[in-house]
Amino acid sequence: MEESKKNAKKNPPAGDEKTEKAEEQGVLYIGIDLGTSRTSIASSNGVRESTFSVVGYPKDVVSRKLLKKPVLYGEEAIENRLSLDFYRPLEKGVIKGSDGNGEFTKEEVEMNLNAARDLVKHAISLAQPRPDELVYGVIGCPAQSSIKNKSYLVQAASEVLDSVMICSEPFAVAYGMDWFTDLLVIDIGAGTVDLCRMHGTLPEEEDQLTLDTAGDFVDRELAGLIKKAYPEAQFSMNMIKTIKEQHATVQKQPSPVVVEFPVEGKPREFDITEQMLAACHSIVPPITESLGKLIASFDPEFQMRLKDNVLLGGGGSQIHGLGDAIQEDMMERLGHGRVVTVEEPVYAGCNGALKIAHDMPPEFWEQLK
Amino acid sequence: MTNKLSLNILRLLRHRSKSTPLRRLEQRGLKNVTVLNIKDLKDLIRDAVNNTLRDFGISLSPDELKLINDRAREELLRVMGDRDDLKASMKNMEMELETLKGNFMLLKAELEVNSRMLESEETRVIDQDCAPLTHEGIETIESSLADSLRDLFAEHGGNEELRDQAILMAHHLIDREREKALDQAKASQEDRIAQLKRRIGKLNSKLRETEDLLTRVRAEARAEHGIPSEFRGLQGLSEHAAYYEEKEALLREIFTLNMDLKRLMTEA
Repeated sequence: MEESKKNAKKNPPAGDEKTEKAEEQGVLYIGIDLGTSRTSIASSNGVRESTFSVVGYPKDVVSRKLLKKPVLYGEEAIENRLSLDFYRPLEKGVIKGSDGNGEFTKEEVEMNLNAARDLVKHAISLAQPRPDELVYGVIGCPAQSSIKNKSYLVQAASEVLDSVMICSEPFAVAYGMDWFTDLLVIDIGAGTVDLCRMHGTLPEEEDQLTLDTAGDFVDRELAGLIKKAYPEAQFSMNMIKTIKEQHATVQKQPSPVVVEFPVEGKPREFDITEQMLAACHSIVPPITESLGKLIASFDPEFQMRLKDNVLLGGGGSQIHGLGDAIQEDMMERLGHGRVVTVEEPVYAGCNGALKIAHDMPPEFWEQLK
Repeated sequence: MTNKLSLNILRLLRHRSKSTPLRRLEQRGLKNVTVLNIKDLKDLIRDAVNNTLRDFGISLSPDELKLINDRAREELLRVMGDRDDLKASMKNMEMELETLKGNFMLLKAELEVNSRMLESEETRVIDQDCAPLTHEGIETIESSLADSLRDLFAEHGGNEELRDQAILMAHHLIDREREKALDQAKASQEDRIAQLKRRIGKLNSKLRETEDLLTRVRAEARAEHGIPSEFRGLQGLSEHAAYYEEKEALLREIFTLNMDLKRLMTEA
């Protein structure tokens, strides 16, 4: 596929020929949601896939021969992580080190960039595009992604896509639901919670807020609370993450959350219901506070409309009862609130990105090639 | 739609679907699932066809409408069948590819062995050490020698001259047999070399054929790899789409921002 794309790039047809050629051949549209924890794609050949946003490279010749692959992704990478140089290249929605804040060495930045590039390519390959079809993709980015970060993503995707665009992830969620105005979108991911105010145009900087009290924050909170309550329990962050994904809840009368942890090598059951409730609920106040800021800075005539139309999405929206909890908190702090949770949190972002890709005028795609 | 067509679509859908545990669906964030009745699918196809005809201002009789609806459902069957064929063909090709790869490697190995044998045979020098007298050769010598000596003794009645002549005759006979053995050994070597050359020629020819076949199968596999898009041309926002004007404006803004990004990337 890469060969045919390189050839297409070397000898592009000109003018009307391009449109004619596109009309003769198939066109695959792909919507990509590149998240800190999960990457999801939806494409116009019916494929929808989701994978963990992790990349692993065999550590040495022995593991390379054993694993039979030069690079592993998703669950396969997690299962074999002890034999791999393991990367989770995205943090708080951006490529680690891409903003040049000095937190990572030059080598680490380079490796994360390579991993992010491989992840993007892998995500696109999940759509199983045909080599004889044009492939146009829209990638959803966090609301406050930098120009540098967007550039890296476009560069990576351009190696396998004929044309690529970037858009705000919360906006993609709203577009997918045909909801463009008087709307507040909450996109809860692993690294960030993105809040976005929609009022009929593309959201600008003042319409968007990003919090880092997201999925990873809940994991850390839960781990801390469990450690405090049961210091003898042994666990890893991966185990905490899995438990959270299975049992996350903020419901007032939840089913008991009883899990097994080893204690000095022997498994024992622990009731962590209270800890789970507390950890999951910890993200509610910051969300309501941020909603309040976005509402307060809006035209007072339309503030009630915003409070009435809050759309909750992202992987974190799967916490049982979260929509109701946020709504309740809004009632208390802001006087009113109505929260609707998207039906398919894992795919809402990429579904919206796919819709944008499909609706984008053909001449715009051509100009961006 | 005829019952047979109904059943075919139902069978094909069942064949292409896979069961997923409810727990897995929940883990993926699905709280509700949409269940589509086969009757609903039939109605969807009918509505899609009727709406399209109406949008184009085409008015047809009930019989003509029914015919078009049935054809649309048959087309669905065909497209879904084609995709099944495509997948089956891909799988067969992958198996063929693996078998060809195996054959190719075996042929290469055999060619290598035979080439080494040929090289070894061509450089081997045939001398007296390679042409030992056989048991038959020795018997022949003994028999010839005995006959010759008898004749000789009968001629001369036994004396020194006779003895010398006897020895000379013996040497002559042995040399003659040795030469014959050497000639035979050389002939065997030539036969063997010719046989190896023929075998190598055949192996090379077979290797070329396999290589061509491998290249062709790989190309076919590449060409058929992938799942085709449902769109055979560029799309874009339909004028009949809900919120057309709002969407058009938003899409233009997205495009403008991406063009700005592209310019910044080029300048950088």
